[in-house]
Amino acid sequence: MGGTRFEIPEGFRLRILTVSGKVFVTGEERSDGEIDPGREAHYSDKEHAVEFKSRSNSLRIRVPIGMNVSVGTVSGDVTLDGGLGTVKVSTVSSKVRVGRTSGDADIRSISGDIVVVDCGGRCRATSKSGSIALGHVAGAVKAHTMSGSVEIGTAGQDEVEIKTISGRIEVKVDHGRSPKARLKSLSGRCRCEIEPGADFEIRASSLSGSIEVQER
Amino acid sequence: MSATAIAPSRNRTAEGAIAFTDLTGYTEFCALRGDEAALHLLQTQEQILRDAIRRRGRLVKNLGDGFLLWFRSASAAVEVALDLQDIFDSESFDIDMPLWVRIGVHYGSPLRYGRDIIGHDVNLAARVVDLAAPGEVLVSEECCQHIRRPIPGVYFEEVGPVVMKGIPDTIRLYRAIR
Repeated sequence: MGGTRFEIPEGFRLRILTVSGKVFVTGEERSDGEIDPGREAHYSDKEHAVEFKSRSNSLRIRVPIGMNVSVGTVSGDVTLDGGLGTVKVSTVSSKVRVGRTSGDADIRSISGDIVVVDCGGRCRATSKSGSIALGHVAGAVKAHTMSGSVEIGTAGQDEVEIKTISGRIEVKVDHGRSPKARLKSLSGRCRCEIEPGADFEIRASSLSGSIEVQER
Repeated sequence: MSATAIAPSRNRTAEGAIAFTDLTGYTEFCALRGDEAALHLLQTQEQILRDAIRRRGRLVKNLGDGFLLWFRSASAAVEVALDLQDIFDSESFDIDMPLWVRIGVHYGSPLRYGRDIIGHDVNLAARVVDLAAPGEVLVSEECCQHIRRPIPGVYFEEVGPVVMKGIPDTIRLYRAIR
């Protein structure tokens, strides 16, 4: 990459603020960080954070695997990949794609789509009009959207709560886990293809979308 | 003073916590269930809200499918907001009514405008609720800082830095949890 390397003190997280610039963060086997040339890291000892700011320029950052990352942006798309720790993203209209995390993921967007491939902790995803796709979540899930569809893969270890106004809901549960499913749609079809049990609870509500629960 | 200069405002500020509520899915509910059911939904929401506020705050105005509220204290605003979410949650599942309400709270010094309040802090509170999920109470850092004593059983989880359209500074938001 040939970028500018920066130090990451023990226990520090990465914080990124942009307006419209795209954000790419990749976790990889290393102990320091690396960013596009010319960028300067700002350190906050009080908040244990190393921070980068940009208005419209893209930011490409490489950090150690497992690092905690938080991003605030208005419209720049956000891509977090390569195995990060806890991730938090808030945006107005960006698309957010998160690869694998070992910690929790908290993603909120007003109109952008949200994709989380594999979350090792709890996952919250909120979008007003975007769709939500959470490939596999180890912990509890809370997913809320107004008009987008919601697809969730769950390990079936913890509670799953989904609300959508008009989108379709699809929950895929790991083999061998039996949910107590409370599914409710005012006008859509609700179907749970898994034998009911008490391993964990699924609460899924939609006004007009269909709800389907099945085994992965 | 030039003719176009603005005279010092005689309006008094109303320092306190500003909260917006937003009932999600109202339009779709109207279309699905009809106007009578929608009216009942709004009335139910308003009654719950008035009961919860009582003398702890003030309902500033009805925004159709949401409300603007004002509280003298940040603690009262957060407590009422969490009370409301508890009630909305139980009512939603029990009575077949989607009271999916988002709540955003900010603390500031808006200007009084008759019985209304206006200004940057009101706009900011409106942006906060935009990022909240149904059932969630999002609180700005300013609001957290004005909570003088810990509220028993309530804690705040940082949501992360937030850059909002039209708001020059980065805002810190917290999720209030009980």
